[in-house]
Amino acid sequence: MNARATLLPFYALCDVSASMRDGDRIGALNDALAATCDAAAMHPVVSDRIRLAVLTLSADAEVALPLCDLAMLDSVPTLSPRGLTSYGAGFSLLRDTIEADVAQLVADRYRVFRPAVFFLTDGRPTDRGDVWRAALSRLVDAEFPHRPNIVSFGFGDAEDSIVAEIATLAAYAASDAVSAAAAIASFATLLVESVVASGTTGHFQLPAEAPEGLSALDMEDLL
Amino acid sequence: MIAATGESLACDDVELTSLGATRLIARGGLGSVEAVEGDASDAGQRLVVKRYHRPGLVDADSLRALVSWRRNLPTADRSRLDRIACWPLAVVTDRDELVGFVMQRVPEELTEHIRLPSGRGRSVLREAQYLLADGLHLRRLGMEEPPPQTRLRIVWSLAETAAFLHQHRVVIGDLSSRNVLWRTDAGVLLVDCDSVTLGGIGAPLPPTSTVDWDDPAQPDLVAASSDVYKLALLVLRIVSRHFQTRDPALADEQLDAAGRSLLRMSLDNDPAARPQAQAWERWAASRRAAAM
Repeated sequence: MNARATLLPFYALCDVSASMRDGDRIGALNDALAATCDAAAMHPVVSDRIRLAVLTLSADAEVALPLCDLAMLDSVPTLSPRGLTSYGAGFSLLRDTIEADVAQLVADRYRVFRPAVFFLTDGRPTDRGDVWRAALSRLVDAEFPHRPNIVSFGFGDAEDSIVAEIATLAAYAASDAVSAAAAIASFATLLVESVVASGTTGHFQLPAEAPEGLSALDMEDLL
Repeated sequence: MIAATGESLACDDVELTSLGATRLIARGGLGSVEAVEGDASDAGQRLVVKRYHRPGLVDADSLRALVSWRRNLPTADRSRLDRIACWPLAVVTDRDELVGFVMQRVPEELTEHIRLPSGRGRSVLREAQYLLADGLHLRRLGMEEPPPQTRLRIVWSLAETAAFLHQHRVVIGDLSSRNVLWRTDAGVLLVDCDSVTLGGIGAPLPPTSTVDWDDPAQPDLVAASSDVYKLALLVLRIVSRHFQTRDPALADEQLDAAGRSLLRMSLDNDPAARPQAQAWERWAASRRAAAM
């Protein structure tokens, strides 16, 4: 029945290190994920075209919500803060997860667009630079046919230059004027609008203007 | 008060400030929709303003032409138009610059309260996209699943709506599962009417098609033959409940022989080979008569 339908997989890779406890950042992040799931489930044309997975990183990485059809979602996962900030663990798990997910979708006779990753962090990586950079290289490797487009988003103690380095498409930083929770709410707006616009148009879309409280980081140095 | 039924030829713009307080009720890609508080047109409709994010993209004269055309319709036709379309009732300006237009607010009977994965509930417009979704998704949203006979009646209403507009030389343009709403009596209401063209005058907005709802034969044209193609996609997808299919065979079980034939002709790659919307209207009339 779904022969040759096209799908766009979205992955949210979220830093849930201990600092996410501060100022109910984790509550704001859980609200952001709920808003995203709701937006897709509310629009059958959108949930028909996109799939969403949620991965978390701290000292290690986990799949909190396996890639799924949001029309069939019973409840939204609730993330809890824990431990350190290992970017490398997150990127490694993401690469392996994307590889397995796309293989399954293709076996199920879907056509699959390049996945989109929304990476959110509130701090600096606690693993070594060469370690997480090697994992990032493997994720965005030109030889990896399903290498994702990455949109990154930093707030709190995140380092702008690192947030920009991770992105392939766009990078955002929270402005100092807003609380972390408000910045995460703006991240939610960005993610929801991107999911709805991409699901409606059939290919990956980012809102032209950054939501209030976010500023786009310059990625030019990296090109 | 907006003169929704005014007989005059003049098409007076409305100043934004004269509308009083407005309240944001929806944000879309091209504009936001704001409720006009405590006001109603003289036809008794509740009103909203569509305010464009980028008014510079909008052709003000085309928008005024749509407003004037409606005002000058015979009363019966104007009533029918208001029943089937959220038509622009007046152009809204701010210090003489176009910012949007007034239209009727979608009546409550075309909204639905749904339940979301987070456990929250919310009210949504009853868009045709819910007719395409499978039963399990609808049950999760807490929506009732329209039975096959209701789907057919909605399809008939669509055929009649397209034929009525084409008779008046209105081409709909962007016809898709997001801008058709249905009523509990299986009537339909078109929204986003600022991409229609009138008697060959360009549309207020640049031509656009929703993905999966394009006419591959003439993707950049607003043409009656493309409306017929998109009408056929709606018929096919509503009765077969597929989002992306263009295979008419999937509707074979639900349509009679005449409907199957119209569907195939309407999806022909050659626009000249497609029937007119009036052929679909005649089919709908015969099915209605047979159902009595």
